[in-house]
Amino acid sequence: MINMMKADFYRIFRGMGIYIGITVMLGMIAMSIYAVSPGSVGVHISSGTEMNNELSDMSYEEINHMSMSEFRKYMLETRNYKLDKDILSANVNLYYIFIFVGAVLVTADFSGGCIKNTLSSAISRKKYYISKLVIVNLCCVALHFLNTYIMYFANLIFNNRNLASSIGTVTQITLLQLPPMLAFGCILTGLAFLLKKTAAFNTVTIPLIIVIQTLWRFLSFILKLPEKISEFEFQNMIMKLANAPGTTYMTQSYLFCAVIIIAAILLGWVFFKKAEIR
Amino acid sequence: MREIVLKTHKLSKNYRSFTALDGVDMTVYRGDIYGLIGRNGAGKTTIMKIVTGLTEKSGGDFELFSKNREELGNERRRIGCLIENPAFFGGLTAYQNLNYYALQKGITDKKQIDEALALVNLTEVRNKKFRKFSLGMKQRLGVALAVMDNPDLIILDEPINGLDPIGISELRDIFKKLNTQKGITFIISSHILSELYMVATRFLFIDEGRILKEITKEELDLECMRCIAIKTNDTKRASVILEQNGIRDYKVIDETELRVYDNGAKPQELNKLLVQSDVNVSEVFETGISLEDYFKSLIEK
Repeated sequence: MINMMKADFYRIFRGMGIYIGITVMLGMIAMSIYAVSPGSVGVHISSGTEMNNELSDMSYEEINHMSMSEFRKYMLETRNYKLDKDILSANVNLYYIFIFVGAVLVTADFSGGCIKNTLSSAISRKKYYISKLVIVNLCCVALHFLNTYIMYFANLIFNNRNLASSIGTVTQITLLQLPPMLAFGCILTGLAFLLKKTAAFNTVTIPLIIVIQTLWRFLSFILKLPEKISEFEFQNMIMKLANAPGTTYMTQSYLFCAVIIIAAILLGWVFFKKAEIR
Repeated sequence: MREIVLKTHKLSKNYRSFTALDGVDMTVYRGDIYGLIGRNGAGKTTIMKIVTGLTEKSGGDFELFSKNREELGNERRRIGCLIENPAFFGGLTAYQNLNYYALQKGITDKKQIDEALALVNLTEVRNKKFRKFSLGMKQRLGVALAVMDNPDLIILDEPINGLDPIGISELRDIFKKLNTQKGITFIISSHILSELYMVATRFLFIDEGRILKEITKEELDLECMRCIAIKTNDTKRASVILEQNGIRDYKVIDETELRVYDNGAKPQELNKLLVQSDVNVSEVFETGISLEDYFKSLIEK
């Protein structure tokens, strides 16, 4: 299994996929740092972020009339705004970078048929599955930390020091956000083993988070679920975990992530265990 | 007694209502170059995929290196494979692709990669990306991967597809060399009988998932050779009469047929000889067919 992971590390750094993923991540960081506001992907912009508090005394009209550089200038003059915390609150965006990891490490094997070479003589299906699960999640965690520290130091270098938290704070937030990140890794691995081909994998995974958010909101509305339920939707969960979550919420959200992780692992394994390898 | 490398027992595979394999019994001995011959869709690849764990069997069983499927574990390391098309990562070079699999298999001696590339004449293009390879080069890289880990059994599915005549001849020599010098057992599938005939030592004819015949090369030669077939209900007496008349180059095929391979023998004379000796002869005819015709006759049966 270790050999399998060594081989995958050897391969991913000799292909383009991972570098494209990292470049997209750096692009997202650069935009957020320059615009002095976090990027956001989803059906709604998260409320209750530090930026919203900071802008509460301004009307939307005033904000809309500002150019990006004017907005940047305005935000750089603020004193109580911590941009890095706000960017970490929007870490659901990393899901899209993790799609590259799933595609490069799992579906590329299926799409090219290279998995036949591995399973026919080198390693059992169980070991193959576990090693892919481990390496995908290792890469996701590594990218999560990479994102945090690149963003943190870029913010320190290019923006006002007042916009930065301490390195301890961003590290703590990054650690608190690990369970949902691992859930992303497991969901993507499970789906990769279910869908097998890269085209199908991308088609399903790219809109998945938005579909989940839409369904979540729709079901909450139809079934009149309590507002608290929406706190466990991934985007909200990641945001809440970045903003001093209570112990109860942390426990509940981690349990929810654990359930998702187990379900995703089982899903992938059930579909892979006896699948015909083409 | 020869060591058995692979033995299947009533192996079958169904895809919903389609039967890809139907009770296949085959035995591959150590040192064989075992040729699987059949039309497209006959079940050759399915046998290979079951044995290599790429698909599940629907029924029956098989033993590889005297171990059943559940006990195999690391024994799979003793197999080198090329199933269906050679599949590698297009963005990696030939060397990088082999190194990737070497890392997977825990091969630390990188010389093995160089040796495998040299064996299939790909040393000069070792740094060329796989996506830029011709079909023939891809096939050869597939063979290089199969031999890289010094396996005991090499399974090759249509390895000569896309190769030019010189490439086919080179590959044939490689298979023979590995077989005789290193004692590697081969299972090679092809629908090109004449090519397989030149390298294999035993053959399995298969069609529509069923075995038509398992035969050695010597037996195949005898079956295809020009000869006179004699149909009689007393092959024992017929063979005594033939011996008494100096005809020793013959073979009893079954209880009702024997074949005479003596070049000088003529059907009418043999018929006369046997009838005069009170042997009940029902048919005497000249036979001898090409490999393709032999295969066709098996399918028609």
